[in-house]
Amino acid sequence: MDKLPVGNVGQTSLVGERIGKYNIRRVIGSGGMGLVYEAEDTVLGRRVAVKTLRDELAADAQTVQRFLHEAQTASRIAHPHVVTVYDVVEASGRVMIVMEFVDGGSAEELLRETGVPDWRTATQVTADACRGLVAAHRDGLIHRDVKPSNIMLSKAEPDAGQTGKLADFGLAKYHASHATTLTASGISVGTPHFMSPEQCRAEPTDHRSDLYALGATYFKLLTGRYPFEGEKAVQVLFAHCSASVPDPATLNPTVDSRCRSIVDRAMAKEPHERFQSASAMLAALEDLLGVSSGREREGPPPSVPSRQVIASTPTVAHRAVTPKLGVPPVAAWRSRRLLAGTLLLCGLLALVASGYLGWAPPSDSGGFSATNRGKPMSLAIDGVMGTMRVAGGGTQLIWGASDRGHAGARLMRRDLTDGSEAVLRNDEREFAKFSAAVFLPKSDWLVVADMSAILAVDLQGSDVIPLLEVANGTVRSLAAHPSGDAIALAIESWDGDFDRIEMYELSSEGTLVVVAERSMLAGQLRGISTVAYSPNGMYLAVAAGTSIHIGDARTGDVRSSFELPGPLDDNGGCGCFLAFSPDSRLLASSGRRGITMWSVQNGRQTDLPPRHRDPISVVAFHPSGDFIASASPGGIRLWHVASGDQLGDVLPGHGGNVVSDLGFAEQGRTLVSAGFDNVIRFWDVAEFGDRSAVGPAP
Amino acid sequence: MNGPDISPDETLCRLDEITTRWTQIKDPLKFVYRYSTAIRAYLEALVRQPHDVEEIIQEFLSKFLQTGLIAADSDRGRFRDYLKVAVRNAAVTFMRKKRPRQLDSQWLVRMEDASLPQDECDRQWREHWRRCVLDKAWRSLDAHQQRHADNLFYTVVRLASDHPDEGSRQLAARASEQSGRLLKPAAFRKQLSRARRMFAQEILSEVSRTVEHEGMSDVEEELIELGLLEYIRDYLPADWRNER
Repeated sequence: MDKLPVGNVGQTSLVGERIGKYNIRRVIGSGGMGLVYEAEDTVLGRRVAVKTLRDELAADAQTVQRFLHEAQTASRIAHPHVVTVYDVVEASGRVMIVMEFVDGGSAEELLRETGVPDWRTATQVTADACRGLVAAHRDGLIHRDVKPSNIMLSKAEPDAGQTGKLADFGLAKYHASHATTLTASGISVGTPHFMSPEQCRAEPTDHRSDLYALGATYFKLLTGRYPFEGEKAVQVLFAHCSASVPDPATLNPTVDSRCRSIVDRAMAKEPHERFQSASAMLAALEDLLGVSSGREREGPPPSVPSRQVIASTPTVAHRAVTPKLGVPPVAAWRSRRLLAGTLLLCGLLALVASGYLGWAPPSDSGGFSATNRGKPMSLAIDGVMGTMRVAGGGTQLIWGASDRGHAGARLMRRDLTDGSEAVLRNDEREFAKFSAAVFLPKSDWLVVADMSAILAVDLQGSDVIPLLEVANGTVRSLAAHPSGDAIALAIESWDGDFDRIEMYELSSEGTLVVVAERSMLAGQLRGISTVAYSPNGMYLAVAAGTSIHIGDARTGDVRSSFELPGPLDDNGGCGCFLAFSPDSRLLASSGRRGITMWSVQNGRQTDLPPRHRDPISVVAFHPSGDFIASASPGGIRLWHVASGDQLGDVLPGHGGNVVSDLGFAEQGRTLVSAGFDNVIRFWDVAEFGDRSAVGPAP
Repeated sequence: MNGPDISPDETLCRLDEITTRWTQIKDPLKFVYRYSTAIRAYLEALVRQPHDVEEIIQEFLSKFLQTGLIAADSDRGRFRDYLKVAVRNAAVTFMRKKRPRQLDSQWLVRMEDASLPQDECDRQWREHWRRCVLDKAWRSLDAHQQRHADNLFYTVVRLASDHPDEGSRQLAARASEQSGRLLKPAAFRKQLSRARRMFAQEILSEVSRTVEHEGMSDVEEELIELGLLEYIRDYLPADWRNER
């Protein structure tokens, strides 16, 4: 929407005319398709922008049809960061798109009139446009013409700064379809500076082309320059396909060095090496701005409908996504349990009244709660989640995330009491992955499996001690003895040989070192998935295939073995996940559609009802020991251990994705889950205590 | 999760669609863009000055726009060779014009005689050309996966390539983790088999487009020279060499 003389676009001016209910006042912009006017809606008494087609294009029926179709498509997007399309009008043989009037001009005009903004403003504008892309991609629409002149800036809230809005949806598709022809014949296209390599090569494009263009736009906003300059369009396009993107800081030294990584990622030559969704790019931009919450990130990329991405605290006019457990309990799984269920309600209400399940209203003063205003309900992980753990009395959250382009991995820690985050370790090796982690009790150490290395990482991220190297296998699970002086590793063999359990004693005198090594069930394990110490420190449990073994925590001598009833349900190779109850009396296993539990003392088996539609991938005991949570791709459920009754309804979980980790935080008030959608979600267990939701006391 | 509902023939039916006469390519500029990283790497090896590289690219593209592939005759052989000579000529022209006093006579002799070996430059050229062919195949798999929500062709081949020592159980778990969808080992193997055939087909198609011939023997020779045949041979149909 650059301001150009009317004569440049081959269109008769409509200024002063009245078309339908619109009084055309002045030309405010010009694009490749035609002119944009400021107009007044005389019925509603508001300013609008009216976009029209150039005369020669308006005479082409196919062009008009596309113009209308795309305008109608764009009108479906109602989002604060997308310029709203109000109406499509045909009058006097003329087609017009009536849309929201944005009073601050475009980002291109901002650059032209006030120069390069500071990097925070540039990042903020880019993040706003990215929010618009999240909404568009969610609706299956690819913009195809993201550039500074298509980001409009609103001055509606002067104290709050400018808000970026993505404009010109639909027209871009038309442009792209012609760009190839123009390029091939050697005629300069309008804006080659933001075209992705696949667009340059006229190969199939998808939503990631928009992310490339947004990366190029970000570069321009940071530096005032195009990423690739050249005398001719073909040279610029050639550079998009082959040249390295310059470091923005070389052109503008005030740019924060972290901006470069976002530009590089967004503008990767290969689509599969870029951010894979607008949500992921938005997360990176927000991280840079330090506003990782309070903004909506939502929606999967258009072509991957099975992936649900992010839902965080809603902003105005955004969809509110509030996970709730608190609805009436489902019917008791056995009728004779009805009484027990009633008693359960009484017990639950008593717990609620005592504040055990967090009946107290959430505090506004720092403490984390899933219900706190302005705190995130979910965290989108930029990358592929390797592991997630809750510990430190439920106040610490750690996770490992690998780069989608296999360019490294990061180990992150979040303090749930104040929301602060820190990078504990950054492994830049290709294919790096933190596959397992465990907090070492009674210490400030975290033990992690970083590819084949087992490392002790200081919780402040200031110290890393290599403990040992794992040979010929992948660490599937790590466990730490409650005393903090031993760890156990479940290792899946690479060569088809037997899987194995390796146990190591640690000494923390001076520094942390391995002082002894043992094995358990050598030559007997296949399909190993989990290892877990009992909270009392007496037992070590192992799951391999459908076999569950409980051994001595110190010697590894097997004391009892159980077999999951029936064959292991298919769970995508996750195997069984084991969890001891807090009093160490029960051992619970996933793997089937219902939880199976064994008494550690006498081996008595209890099966909770197989109510999950899919196999359970992970279970977690509530700190009270009275409740246990189970998760499958179909959702997350909470159960009363003694009665076997399910509490409340099933939670949506991770949109059909496998839930890989589960844990209770905040003394049991919050349930934290991580899934293969690479999102960590926080579920408010306090909702169980809502009297109106649970139902009246008997 | 069951495998995708894709016809077993889907990845094989396009052999008949291969264009094997590169001089008939309708839009050569897009072809040049496809091999742009090879062109850039080759020029960097030839002249070593980044600013010179940019200027040579500009001249090369200008000339290419003017003449396209018209100058090529039917005996040009491989597109790879034709393009290399064109790029080298652009470099020589530029150096003669812009750096006459700095020209090393030996360099010029080597540049002007296409029959003389230029080991490092040629190696760069071949290696990056090979990379471009592979990148094109990877992009095709990726685009296929993006278009068809029920397949993981890119993911499974990438995983199998990145983790050659792992079995289908581990790889299926990795694929499930990456995609957020349950994938059994059997389904992984099924997808991998089809995806590898598609990958091989993409490489064969791309290489076929860059040779000028009436049969497939030139294609096989080019595949061998680029070191690609050994990777794809097992996934091509038995009769892929048959002339059409």
